[in-house]
Amino acid sequence: MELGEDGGMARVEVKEETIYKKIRNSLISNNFKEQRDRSYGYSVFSDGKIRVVVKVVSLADLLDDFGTKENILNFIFEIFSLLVDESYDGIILVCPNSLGEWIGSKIDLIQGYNKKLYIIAYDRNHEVNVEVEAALSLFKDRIKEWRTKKELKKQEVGTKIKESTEVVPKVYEQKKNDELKATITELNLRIRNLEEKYNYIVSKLEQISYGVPKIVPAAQEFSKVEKEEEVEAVPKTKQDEKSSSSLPSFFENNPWVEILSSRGKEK
Amino acid sequence: MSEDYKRKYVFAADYGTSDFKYGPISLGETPQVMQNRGYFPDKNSVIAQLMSSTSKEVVVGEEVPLYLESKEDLAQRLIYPMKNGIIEKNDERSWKVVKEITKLALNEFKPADPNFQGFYLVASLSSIAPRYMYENLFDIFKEIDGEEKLIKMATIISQPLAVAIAHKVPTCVVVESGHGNTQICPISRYPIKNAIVALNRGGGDANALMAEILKDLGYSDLASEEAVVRMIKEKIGLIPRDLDQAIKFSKENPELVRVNFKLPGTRLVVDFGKDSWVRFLLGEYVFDPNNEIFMSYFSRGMPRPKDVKAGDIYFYGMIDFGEAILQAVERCPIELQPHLYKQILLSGGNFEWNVPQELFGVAVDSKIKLKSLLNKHGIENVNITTSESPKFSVWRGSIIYGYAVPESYSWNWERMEGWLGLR
Repeated sequence: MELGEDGGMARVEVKEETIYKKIRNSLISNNFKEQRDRSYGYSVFSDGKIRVVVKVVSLADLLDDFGTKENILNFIFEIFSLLVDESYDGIILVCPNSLGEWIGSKIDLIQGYNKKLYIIAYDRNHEVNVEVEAALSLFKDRIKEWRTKKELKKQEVGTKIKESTEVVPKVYEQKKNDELKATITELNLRIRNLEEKYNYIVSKLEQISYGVPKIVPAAQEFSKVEKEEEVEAVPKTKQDEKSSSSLPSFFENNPWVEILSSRGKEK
Repeated sequence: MSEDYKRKYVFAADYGTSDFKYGPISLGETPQVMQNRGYFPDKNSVIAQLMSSTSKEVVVGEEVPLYLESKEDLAQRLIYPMKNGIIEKNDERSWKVVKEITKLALNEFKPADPNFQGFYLVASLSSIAPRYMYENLFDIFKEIDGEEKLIKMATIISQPLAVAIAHKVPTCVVVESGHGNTQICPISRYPIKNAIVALNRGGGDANALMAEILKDLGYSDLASEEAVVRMIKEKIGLIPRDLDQAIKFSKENPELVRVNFKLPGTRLVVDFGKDSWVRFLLGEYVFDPNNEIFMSYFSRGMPRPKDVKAGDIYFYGMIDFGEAILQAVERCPIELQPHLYKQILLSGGNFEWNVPQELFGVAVDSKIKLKSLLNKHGIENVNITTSESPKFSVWRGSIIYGYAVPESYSWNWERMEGWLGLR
C-alpha cells in the first residue's frame, strides 16, 4: 500500500513484501499453517501433508548481501540444501527478475529438482507485474503437483514394504482408487444436496397435511351439530390474520394524509 | 369503495434493486421482504423435473435456492431484474421475474373474504425510472388481474416521494443512495421531476474500492468474493470529516485507527495493520471521489464512475454529493430553495456508516459529512436528517399514499400520479 507524497506518508511497502503476503494468505486460505516464520531467513508452511518453504530475496538483499562472492555462495548453498532436504516438498522463491532467470536456467539442468523449485520473479519496475500475477495464480497448481507427488511417493514406499507380487503396479491401482474415491465423494455431495431438497419438499407437505387432521374431525364434529348457527366456513388466510381496524403508527400526525386526500380536488 | 375496504386492502410493493418489500396495510409497521430475483431453471435438469409439479418457467421467492445448480449457470439463469433501479424495455426475462414476484406477493395475502374485489396496489419505482417502465408495469398488473382478479386499481409512485411521505415532510430534498446509484429528488407536495439529479455512484463503488484495497494488501482471493468485500467494507469503513487530516491523524495515532477483520466461520483474519488509514478512503469515495489519492486507483484499473445517460436521465459520475444537492435545488424556484435546504432527508443503506467513539470528530456520520460538503459550496443553514428505517420507509410511504389518495383521482400521464382502474 502506498500513498503519494501529497498524502504525507512515506512509501510503506516494497513489492516483494506484497508478493509474500499474497503467497502467505493464499497458503493460509488453502489450509496451510505457518510452522516457521521468516526470522530464520525463510518461512515454512504445512497443510499436514506437504511442507512448503517460502524464501524471499529482496532487491536490497541482492544489492547489499550479494556484493561478495561468499554471500552468493551462501545463498546458492542455502537454496541447494533446501532442494535436497526431503522434508520439504516444494520451495517458492520470490526474487528479482535477474536472479530468478539465472537460477531458473541452472535449476532446469538438474533433473528431479527442477519441479521442486517454483520461482516468482518480479521486476524492479513496480508497474510491470503481469508476470508476477500470473505466477501467483499458477503456484496453486504447483502445490497440487507437490501434493500428488508426495502421495505417489508414499504409495511407492508402501508398495516396497509390502513387497507385493501383483502384476498391476500398486501406484496405478491406488491412483484408480483415488479417482473412485473422488467420484464417490462427489456423488455423496450430490445425494446430500438431493436429500436437503427432498427434506424441504417433505416439510412443505407436512405443513400442508398438518392442517388436514384438524379440518377432518372438525368437519365431522360440525356435521353432528344441529344447524343452529349457520356459519360460513371460510379458510383463514394470511391477510385475514393480519387484518386489523387501526391504522399503523406512521399515519399518526402525518401531514401527507391531508395533502394526498385532496389530490384531484386542487387546481 | 368504503374507507374500511381500503383499510384492509391497500397493498404496497417496493421494487428495490436487491429486495422486494411488499404487503398490505394490515401488516402494520413492517412489510414482508423477498429478494428481487428470479431463477430460470434448466427444464431438462433432474432437479427441475423433481421439484416442479407445474413446470415453472421462472422461480421466485424462497424456493429459488432449491433450484440453483452449478455456479456457471448462475449468471445466465439467476436474474436480478433491477439494474440500478431500471429494467431495459425489451429485457423480457426481467419483466417475467417482476410479474412472478408481484403475483406471488399478492397471492400470499389474497383473502378468503367473499367481499374482496382486489387490492389497491401502490408500486414504487426509482425516481429515474423511464415512462416505459410505468407502462410495462401497468400491463403486468392488468395481466395478473386478468388471470386472478387480484388488483382492483393500481398506481405507481417514485421512491423518494414515498420516503418523504413516510417521514412526514411535505417539502424536502430526498437523497436516496443505494447499491448502484444515488438520486436527489426535491419534493414540494409533488416530486419536482425536472430538478432530479442522479449520480452514477452508490455503495457498489465503495465495494470496488474495498476490493482494490484488499488486493493491495495481498488478499486477492477475498477481493473477488463480492459478499465478503461488502461485509468488510461495512465493518471497517469510515467517513472522514476531512480526508487529509484523517490520514495525518492515522499516522500519528496508528493504534487508534488500526483494525482487523476476522472472516466469520473461517480462520482467516484480514489485518490492515499500518495501512488501516485506508478505512477513511471508503467513506470519502462515496461522498466525494475527487481527492487526488483516488487517481492512483483509477490509473491502476479501478473503474472511474462515469457520466452515463439512461433513458432521459443523465447520471453524473464524479460530482460530490454536496454539489449534486446544490444542482438539484438550484433547478427549483428561488423562493422554495431555502425551504428545501432546511429539510434534507437521507435514505438508503449507503448512508449507514460506523462512527467509533474513539475516532469521533475525525470520523463522522453521513449528516455531518454532507453538511460540511454543502458548507464548502457556501450553503449554510441546512438541516439534514437520516431515515429512521431506511429499508421500509418506501413501503410505508406507499401505504399512506394508497390509503389517502381518493379513488376518483385517475391516473394522469403528465403528472404520473393517480389510480389506474384495471377493469
